[in-house]
Amino acid sequence: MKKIFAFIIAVCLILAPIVTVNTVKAEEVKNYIASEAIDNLIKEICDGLKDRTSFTDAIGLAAEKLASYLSESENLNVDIQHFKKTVTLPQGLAYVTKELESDNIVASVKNFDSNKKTILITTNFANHYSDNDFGKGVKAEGALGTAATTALTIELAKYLASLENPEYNYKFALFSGTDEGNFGSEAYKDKYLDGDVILVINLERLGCGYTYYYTDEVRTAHGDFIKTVASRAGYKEFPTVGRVLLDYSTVDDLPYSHYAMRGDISTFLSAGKSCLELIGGEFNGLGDSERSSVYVTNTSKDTYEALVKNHIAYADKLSNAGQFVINLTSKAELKDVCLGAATSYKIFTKGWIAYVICLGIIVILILIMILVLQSFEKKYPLPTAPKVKIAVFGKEFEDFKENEIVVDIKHNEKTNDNDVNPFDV
Amino acid sequence: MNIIKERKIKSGVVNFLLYLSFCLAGWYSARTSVAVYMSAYASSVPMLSVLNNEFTAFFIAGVVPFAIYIVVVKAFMSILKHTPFLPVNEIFYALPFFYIGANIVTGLFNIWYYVKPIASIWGSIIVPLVSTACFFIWFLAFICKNYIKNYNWKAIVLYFGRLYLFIALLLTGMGLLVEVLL
Repeated sequence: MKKIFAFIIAVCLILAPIVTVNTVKAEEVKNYIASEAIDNLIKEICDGLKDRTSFTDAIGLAAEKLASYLSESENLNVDIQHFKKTVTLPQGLAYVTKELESDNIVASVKNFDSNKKTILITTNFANHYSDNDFGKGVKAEGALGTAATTALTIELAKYLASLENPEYNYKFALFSGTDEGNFGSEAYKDKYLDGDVILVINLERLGCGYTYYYTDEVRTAHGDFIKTVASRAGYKEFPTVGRVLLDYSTVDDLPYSHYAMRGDISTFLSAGKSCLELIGGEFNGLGDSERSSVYVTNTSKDTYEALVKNHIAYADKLSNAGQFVINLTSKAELKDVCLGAATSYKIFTKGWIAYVICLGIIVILILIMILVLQSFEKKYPLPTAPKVKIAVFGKEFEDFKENEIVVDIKHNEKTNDNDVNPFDV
Repeated sequence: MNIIKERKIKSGVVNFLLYLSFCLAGWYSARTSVAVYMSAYASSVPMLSVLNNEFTAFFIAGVVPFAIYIVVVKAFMSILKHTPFLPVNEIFYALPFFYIGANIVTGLFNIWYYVKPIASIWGSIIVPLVSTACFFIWFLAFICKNYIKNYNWKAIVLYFGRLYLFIALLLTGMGLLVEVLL
């Protein structure tokens, strides 16, 4: 009996630390944002706000409805930013300039502390359901792009606003006009972006494939910090090796773009802000997963049914992304690594400096060539041609020196009738 | 260098190697164009695989520079063929070997850009100039040493050096202009 009792105690002692650790782990992975809440909201958006096309009447209605979801939280100040954009668009063979209107949704926490730095969380909430001046509609509710991240952002905003003493102030922005040219985020930047924002987190097409994070083109302090946190969450760094660079620029001073920077994040990178893009999919070296049959954003296949069918764990992935953002933005060190990190590399993005360096190299080459030519001139002078003295008659002919070439021109005897004596002509 | 002096490799083979070296040097910039073209105009075809895209880009990249090289070289050969004491055939047989060297150096830098795209902004401008300049100096030294009498070195360096620097200056100036204007 004693032996059995001792055995049980020994087993308990061995298992106790394991159980304790598991309990702690369970606390760490607590669901701050429930998958079910996100899923329900996606469904509501897909059912009730099928048409969220930018620069149409529908976007205003969608913005109002989504703003009402955010307003459910008493800790959030919510507003709709109505913006106008003058664009020149091709119409047949001609170009027409139009003034287009659309809406953003902006929100910030009520317990805003002016002594704290701010983190801005953004996403695109528009889809391509109807025709607009930029293209034909696809008649799909845009579940993967953009209902999923819209739902996540709203739930995230509600949660972060509910925190009693957060490390940072939080602002939220849901943009329209992104695919048309980041018009929503540009309008937001012009009106709302201030110096207190230390980090912009943009959420794009989450809930499918792998989750990638992207911070900048060069190594930065905030990039290193985010890498540590994101790696623990199992997130992948947006693939650098073999990345195809698009021939157009979205970020100021950078002559190329790629898939992780072509959205609203480019507005904030251009503004010199530290940024984090969270983007879902499967990016190979070409950076294009759009053609895959399951990454169907902006197509007629982007329905709620397709989301459920193709991306079984979409709600969990969105929930995890939310938890990752909460975890990341709870860290006090973030403030130190984000401040002043963004613009340190900009000199390397200016191609004209490289051309000026090339001009300098060419000038150096010219100088080297001049020196080399002078050296050749001294070292290998042209051989002096022997003097040729012409003496028909006279003393000079008789006194020729050894280094002189003497050509004796004599009249030969006539050998045939064709020979003509030139002196006789 | 005996390979060049004794003309051990046929001109056709040298030209093919030169084409491949142009492919290597231009592959990095061509891969984007190929990918963008395919995604824009071949939407009914599944996106080309990474490998396929890289291969296509590689072999397309060399076509235009190689064609330009052939045209320019033929033009200069015809201009210089009657120049006394200038072994034109030997000089233009040697030229591709040095061009291949310069292209290989430029091409190897593409691997760096492949890993770190931002390096391509300065790298794609400075590296080709520096590598071609170095190999061109080597080429001049080679032809002077092997084919030209030393009292003619000045004339040869002056003629070819001036030509190279003029072209380099022209291309750099145009690049700078485009960069500033755009």
